[in-house]
Amino acid sequence: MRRIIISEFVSLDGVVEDPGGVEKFKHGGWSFKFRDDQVPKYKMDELKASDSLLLGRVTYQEFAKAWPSRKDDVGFADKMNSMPKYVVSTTLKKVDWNNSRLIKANVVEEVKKLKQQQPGKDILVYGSGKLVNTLLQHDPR
Amino acid sequence: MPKSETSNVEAHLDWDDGVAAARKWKTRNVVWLMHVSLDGFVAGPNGEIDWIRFDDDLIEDVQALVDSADTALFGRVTYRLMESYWPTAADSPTASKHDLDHSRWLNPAPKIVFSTTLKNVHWQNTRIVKDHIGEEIARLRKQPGKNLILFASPTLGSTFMNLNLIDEYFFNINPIVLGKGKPLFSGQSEMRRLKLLESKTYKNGVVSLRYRGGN
Repeated sequence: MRRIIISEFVSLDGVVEDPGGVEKFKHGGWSFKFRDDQVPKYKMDELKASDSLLLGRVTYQEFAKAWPSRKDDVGFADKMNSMPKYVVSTTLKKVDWNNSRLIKANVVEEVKKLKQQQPGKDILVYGSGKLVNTLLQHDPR
Repeated sequence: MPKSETSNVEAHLDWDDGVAAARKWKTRNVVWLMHVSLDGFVAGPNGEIDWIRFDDDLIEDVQALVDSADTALFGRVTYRLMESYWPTAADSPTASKHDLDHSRWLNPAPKIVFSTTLKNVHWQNTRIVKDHIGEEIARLRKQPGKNLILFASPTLGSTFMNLNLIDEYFFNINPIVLGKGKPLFSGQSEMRRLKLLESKTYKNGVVSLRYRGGN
């Protein structure tokens, strides 16, 4: 069974909002103030171990604005842009970022199905606070 | 014995004396010790603290922290809880080694409760401080002695933070999501940058994070 990996930038007091500074949060971009040499490799290995992203609407919309124009030497952006993305939202009508599809209802059932798809690597969740709480609460296995 | 070795020994003794003297005159630090859930709660909605994992290796490290101090600080709620347990904890036939060790430190130690409402205390060597918290801590810092340790007391801890009184934080993050309860940080109005001194992972799943206060 594929694993769901939840990967968060989080402050000591539990705030996850806008670590990258693309939203309008007053302290946006706070996580980048604490980067060191080990973080890029860690994040690249984490992404390599997965083959899909599972995102909530808010994180998805920010990513969809930022990532399509990004490019880097290690292929991080290429992988982000090419890999399948599952977006959980009841309000979004369409998803334009390459290789995205919507999960409109029955999140827990849909995630269970995703986990059973074989072959498959890890399914990675970035940010998406509300979705993470839903997943924690229902613990789809 | 060759002469060079003798002088090395002497130099070593001098250095030790210097360190001892420096320790003696060092400013006393305020250290805040707290057990926290992954989602930042320090107690459940009804004050539950039975989820806190506190066993061997962690007990040892916390004991070392406690031994670096000679005075205990509390908020009212934590004080009440401690007062109902520690004075007689060592008398129980089921007392653990930690009960015995901690009783030996805590019962005779000077204890200060910061509270505007508490009228009486029933624990030896305890006094109530009602106001002028900053001045009280400043006065204690000037006295010779070891560190001042703030046990739990999340509301008082936040007040201390706002007054820039915390020098070191010792947070033990437990592998549990409580969902609701008493939050670790309340009423923090400003962003505060801390310096990570150490992080340590225990076999019981607790990760302890030790920070120096960013004042």
